[in-house]
Amino acid sequence: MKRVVLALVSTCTAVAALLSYRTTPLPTTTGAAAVAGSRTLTGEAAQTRWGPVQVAVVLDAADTIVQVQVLQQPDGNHRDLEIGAYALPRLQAQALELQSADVDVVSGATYTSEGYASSLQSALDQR
Amino acid sequence: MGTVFSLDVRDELAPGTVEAVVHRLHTLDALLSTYRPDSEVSRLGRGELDLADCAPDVREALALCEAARGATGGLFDARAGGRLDPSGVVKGWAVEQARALLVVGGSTRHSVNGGGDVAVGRGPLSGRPWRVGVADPFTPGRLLAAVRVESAGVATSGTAERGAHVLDPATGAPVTALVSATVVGPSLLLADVLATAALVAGTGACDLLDAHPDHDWLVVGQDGRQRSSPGWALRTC
Repeated sequence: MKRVVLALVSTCTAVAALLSYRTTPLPTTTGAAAVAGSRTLTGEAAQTRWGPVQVAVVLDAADTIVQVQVLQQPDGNHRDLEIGAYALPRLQAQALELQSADVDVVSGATYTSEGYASSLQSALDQR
Repeated sequence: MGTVFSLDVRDELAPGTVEAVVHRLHTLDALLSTYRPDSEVSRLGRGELDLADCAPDVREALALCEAARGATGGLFDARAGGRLDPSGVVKGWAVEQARALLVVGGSTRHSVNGGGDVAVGRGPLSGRPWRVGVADPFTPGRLLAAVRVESAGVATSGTAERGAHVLDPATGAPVTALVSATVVGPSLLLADVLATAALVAGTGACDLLDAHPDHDWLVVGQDGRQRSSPGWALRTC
């Protein structure tokens, strides 16, 4: 089995596709520290035209994502902060939701951050 | 094309296949992206370039747009709103080309996703089709449904994630009666065109889609009301 993710130019991306092969349902708890045997993998900082984006994922013993933490986000100006405050929590929710759904890929989900996706992928690649 | 492509390949590929796909997608992007001011399609749209002087890929993309306009009675129009934007066929076309390269590379079990347009081969395992989620137009990150699909394309056109960005060619105004249309069919290209046309058709979407009995579909109205083809329920999982 081989999975390849290609980032092409952009303003957006599909976190869905990055995560969709994790078909194990999410545990009911989302408190990372509460999960026995959990570990945290830190993604590389992805450089975007607005600034670096970096995330870390917390995995349980079965390698299911239980939490996505945003470590760095663009903060060059007020607008960056506004966008970050709005978009990143939605992306976090999206990563977890799509994993918890029992699907391989998602149609119609297009608008997610490139930097978020590539940092998340680099974290997941360490599994 | 302003988006990300992903390939999920579950069998062996000939060496160099992925590189060929990447190269092809970058070529199409350089020619056809409306996000790049220097792409041929952007220059064509600004009148700086004649169609006759464009690369064959650009002329073919525009020919596909014309065919799509004819097939949908003008509901699909790459010049809706007065600006040339062939993205409605280019994304699905690019995904299908990527999938064709995977097939040539020896793969039968794969899925290709280009910005939410999905084309799949045989399922990831014998007897197990691909499970394709449909994004919930009202809540980003949530799924409205999931369907079983093999050797087919799944396209969703919607207003939720990118706002009311699909324009009615007749009026130039954004369409709002439907918030989402998902179409499953043998060709992703046609499924994508039909999804966009359904969104434009609004209350007439069901009649439009009923004329394509080899397709399954789900449309969601602004009020949240869902309608689907008879075959849709058989696919849901």
